[in-house]
Amino acid sequence: METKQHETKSFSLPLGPIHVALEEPMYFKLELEGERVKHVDITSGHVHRGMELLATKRNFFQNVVLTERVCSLCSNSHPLTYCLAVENLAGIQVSPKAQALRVLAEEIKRTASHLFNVAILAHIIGYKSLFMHVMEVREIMQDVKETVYGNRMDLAANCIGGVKYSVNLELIEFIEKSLVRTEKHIKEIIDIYATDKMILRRTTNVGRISAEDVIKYGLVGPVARGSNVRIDTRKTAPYLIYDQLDFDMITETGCDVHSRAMVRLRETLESIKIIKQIIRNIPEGELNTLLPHIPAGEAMARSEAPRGELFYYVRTDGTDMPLRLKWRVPSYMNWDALEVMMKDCEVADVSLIVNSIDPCVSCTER
Amino acid sequence: MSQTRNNVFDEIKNTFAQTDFPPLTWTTNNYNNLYAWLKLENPSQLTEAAKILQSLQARLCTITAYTEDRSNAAKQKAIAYHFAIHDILFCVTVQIYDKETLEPLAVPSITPYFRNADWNEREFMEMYNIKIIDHPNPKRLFLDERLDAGIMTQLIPFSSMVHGTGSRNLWEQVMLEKMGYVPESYKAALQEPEFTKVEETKKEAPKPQTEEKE
Repeated sequence: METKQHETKSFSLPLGPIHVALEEPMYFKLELEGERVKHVDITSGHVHRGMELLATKRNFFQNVVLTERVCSLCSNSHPLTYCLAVENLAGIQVSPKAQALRVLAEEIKRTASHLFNVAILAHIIGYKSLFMHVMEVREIMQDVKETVYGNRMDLAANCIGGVKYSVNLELIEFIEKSLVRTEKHIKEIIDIYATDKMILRRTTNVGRISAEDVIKYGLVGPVARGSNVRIDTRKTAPYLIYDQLDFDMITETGCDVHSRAMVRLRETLESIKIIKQIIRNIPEGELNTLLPHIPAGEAMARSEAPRGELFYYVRTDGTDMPLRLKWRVPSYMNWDALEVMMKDCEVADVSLIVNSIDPCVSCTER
Repeated sequence: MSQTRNNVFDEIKNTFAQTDFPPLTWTTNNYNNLYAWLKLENPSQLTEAAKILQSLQARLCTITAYTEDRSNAAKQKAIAYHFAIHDILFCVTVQIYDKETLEPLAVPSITPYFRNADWNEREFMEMYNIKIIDHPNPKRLFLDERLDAGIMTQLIPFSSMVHGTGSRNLWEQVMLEKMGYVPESYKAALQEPEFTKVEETKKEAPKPQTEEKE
């Protein structure tokens, strides 16, 4: 009996910028050999808004509002890091109470953001019931945001010199109860992601990036930690009161989509641990200070946003508007590293790998 | 300072003390984070600085291009390179114009030492119209090829972009007329335009397309 030799065909496959498999508008030109991706070319710029230029036309106070609108998922990290940069420049002291409340907002956002990402992972692999369940658990944190801050995404918690909100006993009780519910569910979810055969089959050894490549591409956040590279600004260059809190830096060694998801899931438990410490011991003091004159100069600041290190640079000339405001988000390097993660992957895994970097295109393009 | 940071601090200080670069400036913030600042004299020193920073296991955080004053036409551009070495942030600043003629200078790419400089350099090439020497992949990052490089340094007011200024002029004319004052420059604009008269012809009612049956 004759057997036919099937030739492997090479062709290009355009994906995006608007595609049902993509969470964010980005154009991928995939060079394929059969079902395997041999090369990926990324074209971005579809949501570039010129926000950095706009920031130089706004005063320091207005830019707190502007930076909160760079992105929704890490909307608290942007104004926080911007405020840290301006405070570094002007030498503004933030009270311990305001620092604690800033950390509280950050960790509530991180928990919701991480849960959203792992929920999308389940959605992509077709595990709809798990997707719905994780989103439902995330909804508890969304309720916390809405109850404490009055909004589900943009919290408006930060101002230069402190915060714009406080929590009373009633709110603390509500947060505590919500954490108990969330923690119980997250532990179950972690168990599912760690052991479910369908999840393991789709995510293990997919989208691999070695620790050497993580360092070479300057990657940060759960993507770096998923390849066992220990970078977490909260630990490596502590700010606010992070050095006084008890929590662990989470790392995994698999270097794949599964490891990155597990880092995020395990980090939600660390965030809950931090939130519990904060609400049990909120220091007394002022919430904020008067905005002083911002002198001419330059300053840098960074924080650990849900996706990794967020960097801000501000340059001033003594007026009430920055001469230059630059920010670099973790997704910026992570997009570039997709060429490594997608090398030799199957076409069906492309959207899964893109999701594993927890991409944010509005942050990247600004 | 922790022992590790002390060691890193000493290593950075000693390494740069052996070079011809200007002395480093050190600052700190309220959270005891340490910052080092280096101002290079010209862009040709960048390659050497990048080489040293790579040997110190620095990670490139980002690169910021900027103009030194607010003027849209500012020729005095500069670049700040931001690195992280352990927990220390290290900023290298360089002016990229000739101090006498203000003519722009090209900048060597640091991608051979820091792979993630690729996107950063491409971004400031298109946003600030800065020339890069030996970039491995000098294509556009965000802006379409049809747009001029450096266009983002210009502010185009939204009202101008959507011809909102036309509406404003019209409104001012109407208000001035109401007040009984019509400046000479507006008179011509306020005159009714002359149209060619066209004699009206009586149109016949259209005939039905199907003939009515008797």
